[in-house]
Amino acid sequence: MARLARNSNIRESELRLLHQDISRWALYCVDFNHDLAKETIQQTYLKIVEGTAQFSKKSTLKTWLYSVVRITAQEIKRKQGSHLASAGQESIDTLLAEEESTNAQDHFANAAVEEALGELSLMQREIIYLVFYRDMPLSEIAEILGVSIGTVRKQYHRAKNKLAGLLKTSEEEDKNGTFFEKSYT
Amino acid sequence: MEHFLKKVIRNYYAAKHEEAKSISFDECFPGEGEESNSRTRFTFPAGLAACLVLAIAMSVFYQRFAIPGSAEGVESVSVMASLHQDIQGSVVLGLSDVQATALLEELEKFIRSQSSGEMGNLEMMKLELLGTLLESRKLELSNSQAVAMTGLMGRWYPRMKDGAISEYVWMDDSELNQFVADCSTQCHTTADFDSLDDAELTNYLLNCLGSWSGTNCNQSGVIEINGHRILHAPGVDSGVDVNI
Repeated sequence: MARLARNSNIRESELRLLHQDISRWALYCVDFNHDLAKETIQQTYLKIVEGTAQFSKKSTLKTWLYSVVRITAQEIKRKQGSHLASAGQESIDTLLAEEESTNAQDHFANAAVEEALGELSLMQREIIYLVFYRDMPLSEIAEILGVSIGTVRKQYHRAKNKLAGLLKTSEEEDKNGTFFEKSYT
Repeated sequence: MEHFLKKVIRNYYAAKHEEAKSISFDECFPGEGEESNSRTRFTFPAGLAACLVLAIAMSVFYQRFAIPGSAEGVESVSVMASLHQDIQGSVVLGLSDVQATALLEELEKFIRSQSSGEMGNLEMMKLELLGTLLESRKLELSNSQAVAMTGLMGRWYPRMKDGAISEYVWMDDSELNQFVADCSTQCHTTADFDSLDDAELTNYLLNCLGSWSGTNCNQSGVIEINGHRILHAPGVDSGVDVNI
């Protein structure tokens, strides 16, 4: 496949190979809203095709794409007035609607994790997602987020400690029968 | 602990991804000749927009403030109001780091060229314009950009007389270092801003910018924001911040 005219360092076939990976990242960046994720990916590709975003090979193509997707998602969310809080509420609503049809233990896990993640800062959530779910090294995450490796290490450490504390608290509340009361009423 | 957390988080996000519909490459990738027809934009590049706003601002201020006079205060309000109107409805300017650095350099050069050690009305208005742009969200900065911007502003040191700011003085490197040393001995506060998200941190910095001309200069300290040590003076909610 031909190289892209205004981004000669990138081949369309390379983008195609990485598409699923960055689609998932886009979904994460827009709180799993399918339409916004699609818009984000479209915008990202458009930036690449038009040369608005230029790949300079200072990092891997994947890392660079993650970075472009993240910035694009932020732009789109800003324009659409989308907030994490409302997405979080939708997720809780979805959980409420499905409560009777699925396992209560899974509900506990999902609701507790969602609530705990909601307590983290945006950067901490991104780091946790990329480390735990995408198995990405901290150095790459630093490049994607545009911050120093030291900042990523510090935030990662804090996020882990906070999550551990919050999830432990939720577990204790569940044992005492107070968690469901708090989450679903 | 890490193993447990990883397992829980993986399960959580795996479920979220499983629920989400996949996005096909062909649906998203623009075909040949689609670039110019796309409904999506970049019709107004941020760099161009930033330059334009800066140019308009400079032009307006040069015209309005070339001749100092007693009506300056009144005029400055109307200029700010009209300028604010002019930029209403224009695109939000999101700057890349390169663009922001260029803007900062230009701004610094401009301020320096307009001043021989003392900040006059023109420079004050320039800073206020920037504050207006930031507050109206027409100019959006990342954390590091905001910190850098605040650092630049922080070079203006408020000189006190009879308990009120009498003038602003531009500090060179040695003066800045001395200022930092003096203030550090007076008060040292390490605030944890790591939990703030971009918007909250920007808001905090905007508050510092917004109250630039405040007169309650009675406190100073060193705070740390995302790894940046910032000298903060005066008070908690207002004053001057210097990136150190």
